[in-house]
This record gives sequence, C-alpha cells and structure tokens, in this order.
Amino acid sequence: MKTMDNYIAKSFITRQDRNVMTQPKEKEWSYEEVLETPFLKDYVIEAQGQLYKNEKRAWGINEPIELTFPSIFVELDTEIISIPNELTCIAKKIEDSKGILSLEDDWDSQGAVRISPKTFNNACNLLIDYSKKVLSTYKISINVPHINPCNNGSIDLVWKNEKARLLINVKSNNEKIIASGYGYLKNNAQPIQFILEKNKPTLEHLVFWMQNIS
Amino acid sequence: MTLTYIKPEVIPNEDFVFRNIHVIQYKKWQPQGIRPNESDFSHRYINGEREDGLSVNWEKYCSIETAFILLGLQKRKDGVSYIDPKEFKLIKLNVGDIRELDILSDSDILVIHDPIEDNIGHSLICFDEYIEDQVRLKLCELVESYTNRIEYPTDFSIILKEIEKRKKQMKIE
Repeated sequence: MKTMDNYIAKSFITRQDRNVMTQPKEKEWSYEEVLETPFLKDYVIEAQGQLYKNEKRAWGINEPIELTFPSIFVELDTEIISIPNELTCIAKKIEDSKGILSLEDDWDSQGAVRISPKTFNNACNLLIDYSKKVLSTYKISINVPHINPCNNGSIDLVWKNEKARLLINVKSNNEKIIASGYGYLKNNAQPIQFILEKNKPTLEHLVFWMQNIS
Repeated sequence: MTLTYIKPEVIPNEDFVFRNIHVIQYKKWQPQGIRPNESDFSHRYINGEREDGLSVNWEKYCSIETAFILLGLQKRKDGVSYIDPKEFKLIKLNVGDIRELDILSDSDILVIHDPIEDNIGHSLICFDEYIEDQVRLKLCELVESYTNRIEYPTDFSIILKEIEKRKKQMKIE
C-alpha cells in the first residue's frame, strides 16, 4: 500500500438518487486534485465503506474511490453549480435536457435555429436560481419543468399542475432581457406577467408565486 | 408564371384549423423512453420570425391528407431536400375557441384567412408580441381540453404517392 500523494486513483462518481454528479461518469482524480478542487475538497470521501474527510490515507494503486456529496453539482458550459439535494430532480432534468444542444440548424425541418450553449446556460441558471430561492425562502421544492427548444433558438420552461401553469421563455440573442413569462392559476386567477433582465436580482413576487408550482 | 389573387374569406367560429407540429425532434434529444405530453407544445406556438402570425390551415380547404401533402412538397432550409411529412402531426383547433381565449389584454386574437398561391386554406393566428407567452400557454390549455386533438393519417402510402406525383408534375412545369 502506498499513499495517494504520488498516485492517480481511478475513481467514479456515484449516480444514485441522492448523489447526482454531472461530471464524466469515470474520471481519474489525483489526491491533490480532489483537495484542490473547490467543490470537492470540503466533502466527504467514502472509500471501502469508511469515511474520510480531507484526510490522507493509504490507498491502493488504481483502487476505485467512491465520492459522495451532500450537494448536487450541475456542470454547464463554463461553470459547475452546486445545488441542494432537495433539488435533485431539477438537476436530473437539466442533465437530461443537454441533448437540446445537439440539435442542429433546421432541427424541426422548417428552418429552426439551433440552441446556443449561452441560451441553454441562461435557462439552467435561471431555473436553478429560482428553485434555490423558493427552497430557501419557503422550504418548498418546485416541480420539474418541461424544458423545450423553440424554433427561434429560445428555450421554454413550462410548469403545469392541477392548480397552476407557468411559462418562462428564455431568450436568445437579447443582451438586456434574459427571459419573459406568464403564469396563472385555474380560472385565470392570480395571473403573473414578467420580464427578467440581465444582472438583476430575482423577482420576489415571482419567487412567491412559484410556490404554486410545487 | 401568373399569380392569382385569391380573395380571403371570413372564417366562421365553428370551423377548425390545423397547426402542424414537428414530433421527431424529441427522439433526437429526449432521454429514451420519455416522450412529452402530446399537448405540451407551447414551443410550437411561438412565432419565431415574428411573421404576420402563426400559420395554420383552414379545414374547409385543407383536409388532413392535404395538409400532409403540402408539407411533403415544402423544401427544407437547404433548398434541396424536402420535408418528410411523417415527422409531423396535426393539432386541430376550433376557431371560435381560439378567438375566445381568456386573454388579459386589450388586444384581440385574430384568426384570418390568408390564402397563398399553393395553399388556399392558409390562415393565420395573429396576436401582439407582448402577449405571446400568455397566448401560447392558453393554446396549450385549450388543446388539452380537446378529446381528439392530434390528427395523423391512418395510411401514409397514399399521401406519399400523391407527393411524388406532384413533385414530378412540378419538374415538368
């Protein structure tokens, strides 16, 4: 047995319900890399059924290490975002929706524009920001939306349950406005119409309203 | 080539229009086994290029079969290949229901006949840009309220034969 300091350990990321990680399914992590990676270093490293926290230990060459996390990480184009375990379903949906980025121009056979990574990131960031805000403010996890590509290169986030509907359209090619949206309860009660601008804080009244889609 | 002017008519409230929706796209990016709810097509009611309105076909002049034939005669963006009509389904909407959508706005939703050279039944659903999200959401709800909302031909072979026949005619002309 040798210490990890000088070895690359083969590791894998657990993809159980509570531990969704959108890093590559299998990756080689050095011990230093684990410690130096901001989103990993504070978390518990589980190996061989024992728990270690930022602790150097004897490790076998090529021994698999299983990493478990108290938070979920979503990897987007240029950033990795941590979100609470309560929002695992949202993280999964984002992961599942990454295929949107593989759509090419004319993906609907009628001249649709491809979805840019920037638009997709904006949609994901918006979804994560508001999900987190509703969770932290009201202790409620919102439902998972449909994430749909639109023919003009924008993305729709759509929620629908027995009492409410909400549509947020995340724009493409608009430097000032990130998204617009509309929502209402049954029988057109409590309608909400809004525009989300770049670099502006979350809309408190939208956060409040989003309790309806939980 | 002579262009023929076709006088637009008023579409009665009791009539129906078809909106085509592209469905194959989901197979390309949705996780295996997951298909969207057939009414979850808010993204198909978007007026991408802010044209005059959402294109639909008036049932009076355009049967389900005709709508698919017209699709099969349209060229794709590359200008060479043709659209595969099998990639589409049709949503059938009542004109009166569209006009009476419960929209919180001063502006109306119009359904107007807009005949064009190759498609006499061509029509438009028109609304202001600022109520687009609202209209799209309401159209989804409307479609969900229909029992029979999706139209698809039972026998596609006849349609494909007709498309090929017309393509040959177009080449001759």
